[in-house]
Amino acid sequence: MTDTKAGSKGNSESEHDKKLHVEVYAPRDPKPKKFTWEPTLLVRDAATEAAEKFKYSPDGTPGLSKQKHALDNGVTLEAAGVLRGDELTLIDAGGGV
Amino acid sequence: MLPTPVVDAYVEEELPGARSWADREGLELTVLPGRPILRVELTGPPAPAPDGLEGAAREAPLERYLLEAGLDDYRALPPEWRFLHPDTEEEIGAAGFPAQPQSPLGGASIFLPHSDPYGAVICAHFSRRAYGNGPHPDWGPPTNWENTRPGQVVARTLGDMLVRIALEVSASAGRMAPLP
Repeated sequence: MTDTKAGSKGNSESEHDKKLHVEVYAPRDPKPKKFTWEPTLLVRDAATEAAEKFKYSPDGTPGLSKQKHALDNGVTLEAAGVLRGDELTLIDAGGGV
Repeated sequence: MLPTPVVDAYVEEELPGARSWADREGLELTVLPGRPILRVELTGPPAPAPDGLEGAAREAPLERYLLEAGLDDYRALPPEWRFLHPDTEEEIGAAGFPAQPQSPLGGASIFLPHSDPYGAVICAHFSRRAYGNGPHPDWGPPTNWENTRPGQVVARTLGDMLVRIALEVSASAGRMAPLP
């Protein structure tokens, strides 16, 4: 039983370690906000959550950028190359006109 | 015309976020003394080399772009965004603009060559020159600037606009035309 508990705890910690702790800056706010996301979360969904936290109006197309590059909204954070501790910027990923 | 104190109040409210972004990017955001004008110098990739060499192999310097926003009547009207000569600070039409066939976010670039009257414009709802004689008389008066259609780029503060413009400059491919 003890082994099982230890194993469960180990798995739990391992799962926790996989989460991405990042800071997101919004261009209208000088202070960042911290987020903890699953690596499998889509960039689009992470950006939408961040946009809500920064009180952006819902008519935009939230996206994220990292080091001056826009991340693909259709892939997961992991696939987009987001790493633990990254600083991301909230952008609007709407199209040009 | 909006009274100057009203414009100043809007700008002062939005500047901290924009400055925070500029500081993180190592950029200097300047409000010209006594004038409702915002400036920042951006850099973008050089034009692709004809021989196909890129990056370090080519050793071409980054292109410098001097971006300016005229802010009179902001926020009743969107900023009047323009690119100037990076050395003389004169308006030089398309030569001031980055060339970019497609946005890094998909769809059309916001940098659009346009013959009359400026040579090129930032084509987005947050750009005053996109209206009237610009490419979008169909948008009505520039007071409509916050009324975007679904899927179009939305940027409603100076910081949001700057980030979008800078992102597209970073993904450009040289200038629209050689510097005069």
